[in-house]
Amino acid sequence: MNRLDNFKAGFIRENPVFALYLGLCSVLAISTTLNNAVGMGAAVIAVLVLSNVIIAAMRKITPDEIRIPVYIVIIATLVKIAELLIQAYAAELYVALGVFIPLIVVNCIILGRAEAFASKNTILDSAIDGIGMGLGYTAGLILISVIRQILSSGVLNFSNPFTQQMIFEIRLIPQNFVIAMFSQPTGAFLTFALIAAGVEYLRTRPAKKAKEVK
Amino acid sequence: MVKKALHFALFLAIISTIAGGALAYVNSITAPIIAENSIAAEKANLQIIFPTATSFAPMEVKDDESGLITAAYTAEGVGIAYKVEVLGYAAPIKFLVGFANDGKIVGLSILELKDTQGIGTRVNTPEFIDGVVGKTTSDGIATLSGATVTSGAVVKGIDAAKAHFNALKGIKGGTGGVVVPPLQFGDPIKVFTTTAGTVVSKTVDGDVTTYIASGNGYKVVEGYEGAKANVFEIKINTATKKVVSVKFVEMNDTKGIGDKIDAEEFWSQFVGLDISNQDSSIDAVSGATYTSQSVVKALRAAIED
Repeated sequence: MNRLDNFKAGFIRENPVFALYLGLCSVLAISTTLNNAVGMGAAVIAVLVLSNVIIAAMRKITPDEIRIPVYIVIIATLVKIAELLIQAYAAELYVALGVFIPLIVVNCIILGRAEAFASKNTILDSAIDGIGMGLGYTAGLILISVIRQILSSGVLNFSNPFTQQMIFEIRLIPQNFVIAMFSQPTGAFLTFALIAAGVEYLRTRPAKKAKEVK
Repeated sequence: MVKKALHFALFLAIISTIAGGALAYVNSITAPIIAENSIAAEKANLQIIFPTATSFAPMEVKDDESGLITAAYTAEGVGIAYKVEVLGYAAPIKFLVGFANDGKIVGLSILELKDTQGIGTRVNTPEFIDGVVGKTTSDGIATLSGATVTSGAVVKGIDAAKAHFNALKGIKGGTGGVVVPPLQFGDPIKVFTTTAGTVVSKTVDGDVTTYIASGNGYKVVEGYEGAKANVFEIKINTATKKVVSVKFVEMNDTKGIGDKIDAEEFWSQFVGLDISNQDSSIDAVSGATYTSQSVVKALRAAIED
């Protein structure tokens, strides 16, 4: 697998959210606004890339029998650092994401990539994998968030998480036609299921064609 | 084998030490910023309570026996604001209450209130807030009749803040506590148009006859299973045809509602009531109309006996 393929894998074929169904708990819970999605995505990318790099760097000296506790200590430390930084510099985002920042520790994507990729590959490849997977997760999160935010509030906006300054805000649906349900968990499941079905179709369609040709 | 275990333990210990060091470093950088943020979030609310204050600092709250105070802030040279969380009717209520240094309550601002719209939410209206602001930390605060649970919880929270403030400033004389609001009377009940209850027993002592009589209250009227009528002791002077006294023997209506009538203001209406006057009436206690009526029913039974 060359590096570009490795990078692209995280988007469609092995998209952590829609294809591997990893880290869904946080995706369903916080995908209410674009701001949350970008903030959470950035935190996950940072933790994922750094944990992948550190774990790859230590793959030769980490005893196999205790690799999981070692990974958990590394990941938990990185998450706590990310949490403190968000709390200090983006307080609004910290309130919005709440308990889901510390829960990045148990986000399956991160431990999953550490175990499946970083523990067997070089530092550079692991970093690329982390960026790819992290962007894949963020893309999935943003897609769900944008759909839910537009349908539930009719407005799409994005503000600078550090200063709370509004960067853009557009009203796409008049106030009287919004579907408030989409800000609730029901809306999260519905949006996720429909997109996941679409992604599944895209993933399996070429394979079927190939079979028919045979 | 032992060597291997030792190796693992050492490896994990080293990893954890490095992790701990990294965390300590990041924490030392972010801790002051986080502390400042938490005040900044509260500052807008504090500024409403102390408009003249220029700087606020968090204050550590020790010896809060109630456990209701979640934070406190000193407004430099002006006073202290307490952030209090109490359990309301439906959900926790969070509010800020500010005391000037001389012990005057200068502000009450409700931050979070999820109690019933139109009932519990009355504590966030001038009706309640105006009754709090301007009092001192030694005055009692009245609850709102009809929103007793919510307003009682808020008053209890204010009381906890007052207790802490008074102890801190050396103000003696207590906190005043929770004051029950004066009884509110509703429609008058005419004694002679009410259906009579039942006389249970009767003892004659000279001119004064003491009746034990019962009247159907709320639970019986509404057909609650196993409901019992309220029982009263009624003393009537048969010579002057006047009521001497009425009091409860047994209250069988809803606790907290029916027993509202057990107040001097209510019973005093009966004293000296002319039982030969067909127009005699008693004012019902607002919110406990059925129980009020049960007294009149028992009285009618006693009169007709």
